[in-house]
Amino acid sequence: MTNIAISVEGISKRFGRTRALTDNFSIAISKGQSLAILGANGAGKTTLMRAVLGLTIPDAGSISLYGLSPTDPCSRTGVRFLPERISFPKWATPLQMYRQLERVRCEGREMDFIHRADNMACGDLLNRKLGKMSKGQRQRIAVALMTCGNPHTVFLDEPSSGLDPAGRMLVRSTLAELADQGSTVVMNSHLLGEVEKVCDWAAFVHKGALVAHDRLDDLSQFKGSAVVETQKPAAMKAAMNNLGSVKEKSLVYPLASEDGFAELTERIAKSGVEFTGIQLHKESLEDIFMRIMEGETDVS
Amino acid sequence: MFLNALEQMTRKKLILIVAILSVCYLLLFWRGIASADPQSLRADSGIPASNADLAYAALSIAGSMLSVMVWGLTIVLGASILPDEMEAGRMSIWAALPQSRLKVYTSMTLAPLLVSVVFGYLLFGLTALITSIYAPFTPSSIPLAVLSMPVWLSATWAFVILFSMIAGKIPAMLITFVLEGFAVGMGNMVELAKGVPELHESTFYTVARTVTFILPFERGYRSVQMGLLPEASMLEEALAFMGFGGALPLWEIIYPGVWAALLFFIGYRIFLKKDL
Repeated sequence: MTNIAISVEGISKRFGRTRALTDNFSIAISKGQSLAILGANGAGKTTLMRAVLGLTIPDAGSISLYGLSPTDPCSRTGVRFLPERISFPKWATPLQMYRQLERVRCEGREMDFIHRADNMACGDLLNRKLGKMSKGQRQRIAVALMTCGNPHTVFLDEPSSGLDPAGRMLVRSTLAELADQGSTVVMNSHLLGEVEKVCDWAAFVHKGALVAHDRLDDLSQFKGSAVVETQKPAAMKAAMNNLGSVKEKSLVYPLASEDGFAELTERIAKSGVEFTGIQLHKESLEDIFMRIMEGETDVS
Repeated sequence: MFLNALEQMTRKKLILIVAILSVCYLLLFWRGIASADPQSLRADSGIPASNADLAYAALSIAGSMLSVMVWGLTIVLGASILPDEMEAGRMSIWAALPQSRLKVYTSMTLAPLLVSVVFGYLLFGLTALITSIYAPFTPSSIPLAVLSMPVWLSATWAFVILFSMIAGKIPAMLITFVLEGFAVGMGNMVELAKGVPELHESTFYTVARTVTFILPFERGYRSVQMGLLPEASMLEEALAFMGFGGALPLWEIIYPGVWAALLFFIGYRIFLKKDL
């Protein structure tokens, strides 16, 4: 039995003269993967997501969602989608919206939604009209509507749009919970800090082409150093023959390659100075994003 | 999904406004017909008018006003349903649920047709009922009136739905209003010319017939009116000459429904290929 949840093969899409996805866009997303689709504005991230859901019809290529074509309604059973821009009917309350959705999807129980709304700190808004809510409150409700129950796949386009820091944190924990339960999470977001905490995979899209797709750990490059976290950085430096440079409560050691990390760890352990952690200094997601995007810009 | 669309439709302020206007109209009509006593009409004018004649006159006059109200509602609701959902970003949510595009399209578009047809039944039905209280009459064919209502409105509905996808909400409304008016005018001309055989060979008659064939918006309304108007009225013949009432061949009664089904299918093909 295949482990592929979403398979995109050689699709292309144009909107008039604008090329949204290039001629040979292919990507495979495994079941249970938490994938962030990253790229500059207009790179084709939303088009890709919409094509997978059958909302945008590609000009060429093929897509399968759990082995089925997106034109087959069964392919979207257990699949949820939160678009970037959504305007709920002003007259509706969140509970009425939930019932409207459930009339079609028939997948959940009202209690699941109430529970999710409580988790998103908007449980007290369930009987208030959506037209009388702030943008952030509506976004919390939208996230609760699309993540309640046990969806096996969730597509979210900028889920934290319009949310305050507390709301963003709740979105992160909700998505992390779904990922832990084994749901496939695919999201577009420009908030790289959020992505880093939720997703373990990333796909970089540039001008409609897939330029990188891998685990975040594998995409992150070694930056030539290791960082030792210690309360006594000066003592540690002295014990290590004055090697490294002190930075607040850490000591940064230059390393020629990742291979030297094991030897360094051993030396530090033998130094007798207390430390709380050692880690290879690797790129953050922001660093990866800038490196990949700048590389693509240089090439193009 | 159909229930969702219906719920969305009935929450529109427009429906409330139309309902209030309809109640006002019905009260005014009631008052008007109550004051038009056939006995006094006979005594005042010396014309031997019967109840059927009074009912015929009342329904003919009311019918033109009612048709505009029902047409207007069909056009506004039909032109809004798909563009409004797309503009609000809700269409992508509906289409991303486990349901086919055919279901999304038919459920959403049938809701405004149902609202318009129910509204039409209520308005025409209550008008006929009020009339019959003061001027008892026997309608020519109730089944014809009942069956023709959805056929009549489906032509306008299918046209405006199709154009709302091609041109957008407001242009679709304007185009449909203009073409409706034109088609009704041509339809009246055809009926008028039917009473003048010399005109049957004229270019004007051919053009008018062609327009009513290409845009069969008013054929259905005419058959609703035909079914509702009273039998045995001396006004019938005179008004038929002026384009009110008169007989329609069966194919002209059915044709708007077939035409609507074709447009509905073309609309579906466009919706199927649309990026939502």
